Amino acid sequence: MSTLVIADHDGARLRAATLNTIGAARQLNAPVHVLVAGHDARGAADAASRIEGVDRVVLVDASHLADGLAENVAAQVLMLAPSHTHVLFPATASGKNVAPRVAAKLDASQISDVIAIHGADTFDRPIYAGNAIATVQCDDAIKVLTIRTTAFDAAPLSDACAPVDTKEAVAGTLRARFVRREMAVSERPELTSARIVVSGGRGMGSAENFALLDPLAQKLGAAVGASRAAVDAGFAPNDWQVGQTGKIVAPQLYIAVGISGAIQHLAGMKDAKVIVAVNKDAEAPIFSVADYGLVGDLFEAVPQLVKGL
Amino acid sequence: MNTYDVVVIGAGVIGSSVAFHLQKLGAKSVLVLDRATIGAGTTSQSSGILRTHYSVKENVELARKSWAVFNDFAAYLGDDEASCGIVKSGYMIVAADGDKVEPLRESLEQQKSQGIPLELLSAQQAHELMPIARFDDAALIGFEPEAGFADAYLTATSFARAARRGGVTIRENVTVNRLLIENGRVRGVSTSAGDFAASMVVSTQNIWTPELAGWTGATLPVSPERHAVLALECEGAAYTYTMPVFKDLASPGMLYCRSYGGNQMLVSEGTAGEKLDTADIEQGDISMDYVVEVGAQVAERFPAYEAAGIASSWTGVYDVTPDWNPVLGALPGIEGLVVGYGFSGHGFKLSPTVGKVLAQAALGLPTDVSLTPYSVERFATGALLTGKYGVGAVS
Amino acid sequence: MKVMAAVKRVVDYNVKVRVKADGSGVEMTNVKMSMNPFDEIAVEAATRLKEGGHASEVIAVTCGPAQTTETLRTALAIGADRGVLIQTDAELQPLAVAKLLKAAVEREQPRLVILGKQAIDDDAGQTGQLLAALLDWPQATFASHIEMGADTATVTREVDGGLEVIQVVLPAIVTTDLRLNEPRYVTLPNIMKAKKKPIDTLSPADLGVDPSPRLKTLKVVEPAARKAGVRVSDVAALVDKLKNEAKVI
Repeated sequence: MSTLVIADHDGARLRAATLNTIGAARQLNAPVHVLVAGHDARGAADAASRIEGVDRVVLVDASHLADGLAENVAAQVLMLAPSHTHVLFPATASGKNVAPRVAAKLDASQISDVIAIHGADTFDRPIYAGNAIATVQCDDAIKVLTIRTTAFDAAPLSDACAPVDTKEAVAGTLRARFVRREMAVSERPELTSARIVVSGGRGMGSAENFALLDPLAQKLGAAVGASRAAVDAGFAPNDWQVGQTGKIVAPQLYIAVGISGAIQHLAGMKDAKVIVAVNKDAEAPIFSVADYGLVGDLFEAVPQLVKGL
Repeated sequence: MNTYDVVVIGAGVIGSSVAFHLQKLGAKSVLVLDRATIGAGTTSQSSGILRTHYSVKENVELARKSWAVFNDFAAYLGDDEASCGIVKSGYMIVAADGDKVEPLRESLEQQKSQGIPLELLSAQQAHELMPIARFDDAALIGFEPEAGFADAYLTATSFARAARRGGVTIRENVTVNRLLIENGRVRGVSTSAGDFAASMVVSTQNIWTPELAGWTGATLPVSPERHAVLALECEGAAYTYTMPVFKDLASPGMLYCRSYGGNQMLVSEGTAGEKLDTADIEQGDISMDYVVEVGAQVAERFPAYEAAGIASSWTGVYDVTPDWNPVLGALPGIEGLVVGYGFSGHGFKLSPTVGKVLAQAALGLPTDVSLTPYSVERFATGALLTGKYGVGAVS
Repeated sequence: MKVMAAVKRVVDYNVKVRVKADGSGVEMTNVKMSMNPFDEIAVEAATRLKEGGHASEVIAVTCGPAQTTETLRTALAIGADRGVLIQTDAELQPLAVAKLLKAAVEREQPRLVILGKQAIDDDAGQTGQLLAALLDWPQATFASHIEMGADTATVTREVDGGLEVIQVVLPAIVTTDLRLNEPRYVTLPNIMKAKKKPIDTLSPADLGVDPSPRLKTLKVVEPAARKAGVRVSDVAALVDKLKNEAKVI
């Protein structure tokens, strides 16, 4: 048995999601190999070699791997997958994009969004927006999984250094090309890996008011999220949305401000360690999941909170 | 604390109205129990129509008194922030030549004699109020300005909030398993959160009333019926908030409609619905054939809606009794039990006054409106409160 | 060119699913079913391509039991020209669906296949990508914008941290994200017209595909309940709890 973890990285560094995926891989109690496929990705490969539990890193470095096109990354994975029993991707946009291509070529029944591992062939995953948890068993020779990173602890740094092998890349596709990226510019931590998230809902009232959350996020070093209602109303941009069809987050602390707590939103944050709700409606459903509920006017409470922290 | 003066079972709009009125009338220790959350049952599915038009005069009285509360909600609750979401658009009712004209005429005259402000309109006048509709088939058109629609869930939670402020305890997610009855007297309730002693229980259990029948051995006729509601959007023929709630007795399904969101039309049939086997508020399927059929009826009255789009649709469940009217008051044969159920799809508009009279009955006070006509015994004696329009929620 | 839109019949998104007491699955009897919301977006996208002159025909395809024709009818009412039902009562998992769709694609020869990015029942999010790989076609997933060229599609994708734009050579697969479009309201006349549009019914055997599920579901349970929370009276009390009780700040 051995596990191949497909690293999510930016060339120089590993993304946090990769560490959680390695954490998951270690639960399979088999050698863990990390594939770093990219361009100018030596930094990420070296970082991977210093993670606890990693036995070997394979670096596949080529210019056509610079932008993470699914067809190209999948080809590299398929080069290495046959010598493993498990192939793990973080359930990030990138992992979700690439993994099924690999699964199809391996004729594997991919298991998406794994939240628990029970041995080599049995896994838990959420269905119906997390309103039910299914335990599934897979008999495939090579099992392809995407890992819900919030469900596994990140593997720590190691004192040792695993060997880094380089391998020549499989040729790229001619039928897809990367055009450009439009990244949101922010000094805030990334929403899905932030330790603390402050989220605003429709109760914020306007896009201008949403800025009221900035001092709070700043003070806490938090990422800012939003409910679907707030995004639909134009108060917050799309990539701030937390929920079943937005981002799934499980921070140490989630502060829901002016969010009523629709089931689709809860699906995105109910695994946070501590949930705080601030809402003027005492009967808002969010209070049923909040560890600490403050019934009050958010326009008073938020500035007070900034002062009191 | 495990002993209360009154326990209310069910925190829908009726139960929360009861709770509010109990504390307002001086009850000191009141407990409200709901197996889910406030208003999460049939209340949240209500179309929210407010009107006083009924063919049964007792209902007119309950509706009229209730309208006064909806119309001045914050003051009535003593809470500036309370709102029932009222839109005072008025209510128009139309009959074409046929068997509905005389019942309509009689009902309108009855209302007039009870002091309800209303007018008979010409087709022209009706068209001015409702430009998107045609009235060339109308034999009789009634209009009451003191009517419209509101938000049942908001109303329920507002009553509940005011009740809590007055000292009422409301416990959600508690299931009542049975009544504790000794020698024909109510002693309390046994629940998933333990037993609570009380000498008076008010049951407002809607489609779950059969559970009460099981606990007491009483015969409480009620049947859950599911109805589909459509929201239609028609560019160029918006149904605005200034247009009245509309009841079309000329349509085969006796449609009612109102503005939804200020531009869409919310429409539903006012006749019998889909009978369910069990009390269940889950959404039911609405087939496309059904949508087309209701759409055709809408297009008869609102010609532009022939090309309308279906914006959304949902189902709501009614607790229907044999005469489509509620059972209110003390249950005979058991001391200490007052019931309010069987609103058959028109309970929300009556909820303020029903809550008050049930609270009065529970506290042994004279009731503002006589509950005798609403007694459960009417089903045995045959003194049914049958509406003049046949089966349906305008009774 | 032909565009194919794949749709799935799922438990309606407003229904709060109940887990069966025996742990065998989720309660499905008498539960309201609807078209997967992401698939409505796919059908809308395909219809707009036709209305914009980029596609000559939109074919809606689905896999499932006989009742799934209602879902196809909705697709036809939105704007698809024809429907294809691959009828089976088997429990369908993404890999089997992708294989069935591949066979349908080989039959119909569309130049673009649009699918929802995930189905709200199994939340697997795989079928589009599986299909692309089986066909050896390029893919553009989580699309929030599609610009058609003569032989290409330039697609804006929603990714972690922002957007990226890629270009794929047709034939290709696109999966829809929420912001791609807002599906039109189905009109009464279009529902009537949909009744007359043809629906072909095929079996997996017709397509030479075995639809049997391979992942075995051992049990389905409700997620662990959170411990009940408390109300705090004011901000000072909240800060105190967060610092000294929860120890998260």
